[in-house]
Amino acid sequence: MARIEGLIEELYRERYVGFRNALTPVVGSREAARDVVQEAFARALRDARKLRREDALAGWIWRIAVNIALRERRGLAPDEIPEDLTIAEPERDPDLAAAIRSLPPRRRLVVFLRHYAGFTYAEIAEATGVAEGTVAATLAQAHAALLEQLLTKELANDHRR
Amino acid sequence: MITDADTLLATRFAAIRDETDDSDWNDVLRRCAPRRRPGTRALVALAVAIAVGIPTAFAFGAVRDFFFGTPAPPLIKGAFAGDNTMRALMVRWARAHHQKLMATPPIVNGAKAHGVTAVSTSDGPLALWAAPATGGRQCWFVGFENDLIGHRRATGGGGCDSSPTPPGKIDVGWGWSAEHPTLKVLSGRLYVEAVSLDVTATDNETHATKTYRLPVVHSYFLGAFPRSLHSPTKVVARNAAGRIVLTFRMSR
Repeated sequence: MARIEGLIEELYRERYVGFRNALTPVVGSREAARDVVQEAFARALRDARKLRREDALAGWIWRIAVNIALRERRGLAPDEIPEDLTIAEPERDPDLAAAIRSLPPRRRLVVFLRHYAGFTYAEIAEATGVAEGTVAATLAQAHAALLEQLLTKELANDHRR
Repeated sequence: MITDADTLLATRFAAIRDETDDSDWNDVLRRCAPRRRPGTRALVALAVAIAVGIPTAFAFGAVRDFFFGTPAPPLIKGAFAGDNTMRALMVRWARAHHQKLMATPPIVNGAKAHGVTAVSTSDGPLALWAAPATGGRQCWFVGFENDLIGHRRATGGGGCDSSPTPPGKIDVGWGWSAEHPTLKVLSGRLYVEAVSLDVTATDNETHATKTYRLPVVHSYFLGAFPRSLHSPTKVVARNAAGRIVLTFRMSR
């Protein structure tokens, strides 16, 4: 058991900022996201014996965090991703924020896991409960949609100049 | 030049990412710790301290030899019995799957479990209990006295002699638990004649390397340390004449 607890601590020290950043859009503020991450890792320590596979650790803790964030902070069911999910400070990149908003909420969350939390495809699969191939396909579709919007916007801006 | 969508998006996200690190592992540990009523906890600690004669003035490592021989409470006896059940299941599984066990596991006589040594910690008394097992072996169990209060089974851990004549000269365990997140525990058994064990370890916060001396009580040792202490690098056992009888380097 001590080994798992050591791995949890290691994961926290290495990936705390990513977890917090990925949760910030879900709960609405950095402070609330920080609180959720702290609580999620504390619960993971308490329930360490429930972890079935060490390589599932990041995904397992993410699920705990999302449950806390959605059920306790926003009164939503664990599989009910908020419709207003967007990047934390949209004014810093309005085009990216607009492109993100055009994606279905669940796909947005996968993008945040990839680009905010730095999750691997396998970790995203574990976190979201889908196959790794589905993650790859979801991200490819999301990236294509985002890219199309961003490039269209840039071309429009160039045209105006 | 950005050549693929992944990189382009990674760059856009990196530009708006909040890199502020406001992590606080100690806060996680505080949230994880079981919330007990302070008044009850103090009373329980005091009662146990009186019962087993542990001075409450020491922060870590205080030991009273006369704890040795104290009959184990039912939950501790139950823990030994539970270990027997687990080992029996392991044997059955091994037989069913045609696996060879490295050694025949012992059957411990939990009814004869008794106290060996106890130390006072910031989480209350921590005790090591031992019981005779088949083949002349012994098994032991380490647990916090406070964890027995209000629980149906003892939480803790321990081990058994690996064989009637263990191949190594020491069996040492080092770790911490979610129930006691601020402490690390070193425990085990020596198979050489020794009266003390010097434990060398470095503190992760102060970076100071210190040597702590633990008494060896009837071949067992037990110590509780602050969580910030890194795994010991070395333990040295000494006999009554102060001569080194064992030096064991612990791998990290």
